[in-house]
Amino acid sequence: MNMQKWILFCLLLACNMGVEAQTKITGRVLDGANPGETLIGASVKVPGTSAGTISDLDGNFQFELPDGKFIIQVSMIGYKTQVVNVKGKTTIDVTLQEDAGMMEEVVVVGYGTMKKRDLTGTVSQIKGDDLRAGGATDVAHGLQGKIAGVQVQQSDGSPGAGVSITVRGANSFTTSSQPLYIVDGIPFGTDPNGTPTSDANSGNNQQTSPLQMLNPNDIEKIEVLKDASATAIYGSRGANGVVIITTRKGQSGKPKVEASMKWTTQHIGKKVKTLDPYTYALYQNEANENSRYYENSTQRNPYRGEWTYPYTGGSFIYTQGKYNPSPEDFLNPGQRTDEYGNVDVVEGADWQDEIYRTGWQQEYNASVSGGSDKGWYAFSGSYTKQDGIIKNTGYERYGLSINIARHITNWLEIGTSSHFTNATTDFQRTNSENTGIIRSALIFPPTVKEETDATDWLAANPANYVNGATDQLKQISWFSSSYAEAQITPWLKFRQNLGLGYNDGHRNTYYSRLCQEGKSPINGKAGKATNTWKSFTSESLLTLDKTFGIHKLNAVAGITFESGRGESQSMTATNFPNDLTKGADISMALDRATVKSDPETKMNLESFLARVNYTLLDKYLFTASVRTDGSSAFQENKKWATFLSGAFAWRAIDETFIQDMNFFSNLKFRVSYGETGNQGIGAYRTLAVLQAANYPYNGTLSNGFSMIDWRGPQNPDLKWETTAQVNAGIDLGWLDNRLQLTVDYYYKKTRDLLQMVTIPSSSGFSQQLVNSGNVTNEGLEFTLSYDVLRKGNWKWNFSGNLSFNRNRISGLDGDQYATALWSKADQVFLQRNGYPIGTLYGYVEDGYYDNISEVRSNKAYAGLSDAEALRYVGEIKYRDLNGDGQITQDDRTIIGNTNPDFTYSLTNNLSYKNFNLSFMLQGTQGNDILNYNLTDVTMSNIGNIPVSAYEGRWTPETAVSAKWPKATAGYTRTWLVSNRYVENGSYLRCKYVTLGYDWLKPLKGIEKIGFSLTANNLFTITDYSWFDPDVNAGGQNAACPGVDSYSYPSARSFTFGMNFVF
Amino acid sequence: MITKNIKNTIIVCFVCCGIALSFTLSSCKSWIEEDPEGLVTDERVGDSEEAAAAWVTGTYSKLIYDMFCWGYFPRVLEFDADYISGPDWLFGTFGAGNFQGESDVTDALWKGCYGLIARANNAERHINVMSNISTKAKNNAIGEMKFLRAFAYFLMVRAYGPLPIQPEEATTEYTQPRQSVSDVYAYIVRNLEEASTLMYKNTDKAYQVGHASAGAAAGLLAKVYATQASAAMPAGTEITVRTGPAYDGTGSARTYAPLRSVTMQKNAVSGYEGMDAMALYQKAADWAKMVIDGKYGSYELLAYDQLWKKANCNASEFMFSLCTVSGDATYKVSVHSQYEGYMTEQGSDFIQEGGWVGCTRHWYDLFDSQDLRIVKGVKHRWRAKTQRESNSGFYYPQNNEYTIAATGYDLSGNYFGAPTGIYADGVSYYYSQDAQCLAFTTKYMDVTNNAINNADANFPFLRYADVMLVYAEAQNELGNSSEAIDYLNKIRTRSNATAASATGSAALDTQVKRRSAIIEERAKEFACEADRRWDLIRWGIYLQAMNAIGGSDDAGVLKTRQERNLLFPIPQPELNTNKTITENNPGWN
Repeated sequence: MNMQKWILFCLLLACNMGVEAQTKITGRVLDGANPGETLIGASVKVPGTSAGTISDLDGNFQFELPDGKFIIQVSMIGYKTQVVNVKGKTTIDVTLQEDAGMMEEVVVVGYGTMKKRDLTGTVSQIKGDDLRAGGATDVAHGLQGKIAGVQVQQSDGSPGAGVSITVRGANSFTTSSQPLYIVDGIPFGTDPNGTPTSDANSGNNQQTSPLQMLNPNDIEKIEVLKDASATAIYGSRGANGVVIITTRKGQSGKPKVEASMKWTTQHIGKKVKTLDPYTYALYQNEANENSRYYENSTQRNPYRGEWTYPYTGGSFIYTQGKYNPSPEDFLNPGQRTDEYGNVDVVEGADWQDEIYRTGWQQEYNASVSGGSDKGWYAFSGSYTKQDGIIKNTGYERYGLSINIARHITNWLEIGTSSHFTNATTDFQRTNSENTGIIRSALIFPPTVKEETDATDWLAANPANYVNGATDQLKQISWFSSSYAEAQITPWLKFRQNLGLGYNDGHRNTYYSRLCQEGKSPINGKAGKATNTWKSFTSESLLTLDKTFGIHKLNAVAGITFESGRGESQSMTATNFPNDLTKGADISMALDRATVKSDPETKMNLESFLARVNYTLLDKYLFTASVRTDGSSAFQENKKWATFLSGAFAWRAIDETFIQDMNFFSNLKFRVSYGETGNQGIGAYRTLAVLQAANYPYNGTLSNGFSMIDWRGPQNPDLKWETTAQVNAGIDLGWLDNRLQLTVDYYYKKTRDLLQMVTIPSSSGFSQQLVNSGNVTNEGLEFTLSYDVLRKGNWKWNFSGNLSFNRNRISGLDGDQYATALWSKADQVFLQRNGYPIGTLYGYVEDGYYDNISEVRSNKAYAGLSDAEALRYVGEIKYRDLNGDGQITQDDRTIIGNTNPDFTYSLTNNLSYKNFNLSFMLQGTQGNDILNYNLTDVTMSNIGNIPVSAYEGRWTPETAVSAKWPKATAGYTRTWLVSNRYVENGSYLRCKYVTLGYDWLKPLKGIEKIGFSLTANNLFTITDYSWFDPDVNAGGQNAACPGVDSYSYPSARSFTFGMNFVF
Repeated sequence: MITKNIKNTIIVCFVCCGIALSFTLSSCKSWIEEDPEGLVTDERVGDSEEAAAAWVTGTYSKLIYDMFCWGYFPRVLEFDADYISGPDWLFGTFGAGNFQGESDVTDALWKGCYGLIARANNAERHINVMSNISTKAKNNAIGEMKFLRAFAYFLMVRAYGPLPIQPEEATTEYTQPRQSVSDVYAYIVRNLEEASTLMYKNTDKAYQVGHASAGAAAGLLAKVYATQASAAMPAGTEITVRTGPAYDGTGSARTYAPLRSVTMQKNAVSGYEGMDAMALYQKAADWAKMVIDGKYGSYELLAYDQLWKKANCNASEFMFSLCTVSGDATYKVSVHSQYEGYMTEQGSDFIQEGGWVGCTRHWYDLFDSQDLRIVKGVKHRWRAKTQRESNSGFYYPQNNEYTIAATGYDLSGNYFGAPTGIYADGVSYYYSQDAQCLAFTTKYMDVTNNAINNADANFPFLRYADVMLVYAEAQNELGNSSEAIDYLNKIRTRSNATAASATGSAALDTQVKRRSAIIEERAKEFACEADRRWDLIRWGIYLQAMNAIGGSDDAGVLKTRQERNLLFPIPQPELNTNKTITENNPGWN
């Protein structure tokens, strides 16, 4: 507490110093954190002179003080700098206190590093240990909830499933809203072709994320650049934020050997309860009774409890009797026999039980690292295998990483980091709209026996489906980042970076004849798809770092070249003689093979960049950056664009009047403005490209060409989307930085949105890619960390973050709709000026028609006869919002918003001696989910329904409380997209709880054995009715956020882990 | 000092290398050039006869991919009519008049046709500027584009009424207002007239089989005129339709109801007011006659047993058809699957799946019993794969004659002896009064491989028989009764129906009788060729004919229709984006 006063006192003394004789001073630097230990390598200087030295191996120093100088400054990275008056002393002990605020921490920014205290932009950092807390197997899940303003959403709970990361709200609805990933300085995972797909995968929205190919254990830290001042140096790719990943390096000292292992069991977090066979049969009979009563149908009940015999040739064949069970029969399943000796079995099934299982997971990591002043090395290997909670799903990954560097001379350093990863993902078809395993399990009639091979028109037998469908994605990624760095003069260095990457994805898909996708006459459908992506990056950077008195200058200038080459092929074949080889040998298909091959994708980027950081008096910080990008994706006159940014920060804590207040331990104000771009359109998108369009004039195909319908009319004027962002932030610290708070406000506006705009279909096209409209994101971010207990046996830290973002569309010519991903929800995502991306649009329900007179009170039905009006009894009444007496599209209104009001998380770390307990709570508030699953709850076919729908169905008795229309066996009901499908998606989740124990030096040669028990996804508090509110079927499609469409249920898992340090 | 020099040298080299690399990359000018070597662009198609052919083929291609390949065609043209039926999962929405309930089907007509138009316009623009091509070939290619464009507008104008007409020249204005029905027809007529002079005749050496020809343009023009003429006929014009409720009685006692003759009064057809019916019929007659007289190529009716043979699918009677290819995964057509069903394997007696769409019993009963169009043109026995185990099959129709032959019993249950004829094969035949037993056509049976879901059954858009019946219709309205009966009889006698006559027991002795007979003949001749709905619409008797069924048809498909069913709803995406269209067709959202 008195530290500031003391420093102030010293400074004042320093100012008043007179000229005195030269004296020799000796001393010792002590480590305030470890009493009794000394610090090696601390810098001891006399400010304003060249006099000074470095503490030796025992922490001692000795040097001559210049004449009249008595102030010495002792500093060391990670410790608070001490200024001491040594007048009249010849020996002194200086105790350096650890800098808990990590103010000297080095932060990686684009094309360089900075001290955190010198930052002007908004950069959030997460350490590898924090990333790994909770035991996520991939980087994206590790990031979830941990950084303010960074929203991480999984597509669904499938192992290996895609994750979308949005920094400070979505900027665009057509182009990618995903941030740029930089690994060890080089852009990573930029493959625009993405996940390989063949025709056999059509309708399957499952995507993987490039971050999957990184092992969290190899990561030292991650920086997320959020404001324009930080991201503008990445120019045309900076608009969505930049995630900079630094992989682990070796630390100086003796070799460190680590090994860790984890074993996990996973269980389904929540089931959606559907009808049991008995209730289902009752429901089906009721549906037919209703059809007979209300719709004049003549169909008999499907569950009658009677024997049936085929009738042929004018008589019944009594030897071929089959038993048609009654609902009650399912209460007492088993064998039934009739008077003719026919035997039949009554049996139902719980299809969800047939597809779920307990999933096992194991993970092993080993690493060796070390280093010296000559360089460092780190080697690591890992293996992860995760079985999903749905049969035949899982994820397996192994990887090898090497990170080495060497000082060749005292001025030349070379290094490389290289990562090889092999991942295999077994998908089932989830996250899809029409067929798929989850859909099958939920709607397949429960009155069918398990072993039945039935593939109904509605869905396939789930037990067969889960075994008959294979969808395996094999990926290999090799990524290397190498550099040579020359220190030309003490203040000037040149660095040449070279990045090479290779990604290879192979996907094998097979749907057997027992799946809907492969049922007769398709007779098995196989698909093979391959994507490869090669990338090359060259960066030549010149960095200047010099201090001139009170002026400090750090500048970087560079030229970069990037190139990507991608290829993709796929083939699909059907009609296999049998399902034995599951399409492994696609040549076994009897016919109908489709071969697809896309022309090589070539994307090149050439850039010039520069940034200047100027610091005045160590407290006024200025940054300016410029980048000019040229991209091959645009036409001649639109190829080049320049992006500028500027920022200013004031370290108010270094002002004496602030220090005099003796209240803050840190106070810094930041403000920035800049522009960034998004070139997220594919290669050749601005060209008028034709497709083969053939026609069989006389039975054989002739070749022809046509425009590509989905691309729409050509638009040669396409250009970058530009995002302008203002950021104002404040960093606060109290109580010696035990309590730290960062608050950031931002306002960013993206103009010239690249988007597919719906155009009148009478043009022959349905859409066109144009630059039109703006998206604004405005938000507030709070990050708090509090060391409640810092010293002693008990340590307790809690940290949290809270983010608000308001998204708004403007500048559109008129309302438009996101390109539909789902056929029954064609126009549900409204894009309207003044409203956010993710605005849900549809009809509003107004209860049910309870009787004929209520039907007739609707003007449109006033003239109906009794028999016709009766059909509408028990049907949904939609609200006639414009009062014209009819339900038309003009009666649609805004029925939801998938954007949260805010997102938050709270992490607690509590430790006592060698025990530690940590947990994380994370959630979103105020967001809606479009529960597309409910569109299959039609109350009008043989599909099974959730218990809640059955209990809420309309009957004359339950008319008042009905939530669903009457059950019917007809097909005439028309469902409109209404507020029925919009649910509150707010949730609070306990993401993990970990209890750990470190057993220090248990045996000779072993430093530590750590044990941990972790529970993931322990509980979720939510009103959402389906599996999991953390769902986003649209994946990285920013235009359709917050949809749940037969998502894979999330698992609750329990992990036991051990880790050894040698 | 030496080390210092070495250091400097190395640094200089190193920096130079870096700079050199940068210069090399930046000086290769193509670094950010876009080089679409693997892609075809407009320029690369070129200027030649082949290039013109490629643009033409690319336009035809739209007919299959994506009008027919998703199964929306011929469904959208066919299912909303009186004599057609099928299972309720297939017919229950669009086929029951709920056009917006299945908007992907309904909208396929709009999107498909406008897609075809856009391609035709684009192709024509490219062909127009070609110089390295013979005038004849160029004219033919342009003529084909005009023909396809007119065909697309004709399909739509009958369904939607007023339509946006797309400019033929390149434009960036994608919003076009609807134009009146008569303006759309004027545009269609102009295109077809030009096409009929530009295109090859089917007798020209350069004509290629499978393409539309001058005769198709002339024949279609005759039909276009007749369509306008019939719609423009005065309200109250009488037409007798043989129809009625599907069944008499209820429950297990129900039987197929006999045909009831209902004389309907024509309604005025919206959009055709003010057109001169007689002048239009005169043009229809003139154009039909020119086709008949061979002015636009050589056309003849095939003998009935040759008509639906695969080998004859491009014979001259088929003036314009959708051409198909067997078993292609992209260019696939489900006509065979929909109307016939495909077999479990080739040569099998069992239908694996499909064969859902058929005609009703009333349609069947329209025919003379010896008429080849039901004797041979309708399936009388077939077996589904589910009937393998019980060794059974279906027969059709459930009348005394066929019931006795198939089961040995008559409809009253009297035994007549063992099954006979095609039914004497040991299989138990039975009948089911629902969608399983309809009058399934045999038109699309003959295909290369009948055990696949995308067999090569061509779908006819315009047959010479149609032109002849248009001619007969026009002559009847123009008062030339004997010419009308002559041409009606050319169609009837081809399939062994009793010739119609102006005298005798079933004399067509009034204009109304002849008119009704010709319309009925069209229903019989062009069954399952997506023609019936459009006859009912143009004659203004759609609502009367549909509602005469009094509810549901043989298979339980709801046939009751309202005013709004006269026009299809305009697709929502068009309404949302085309600011010149302020409201949908009457009755639709």
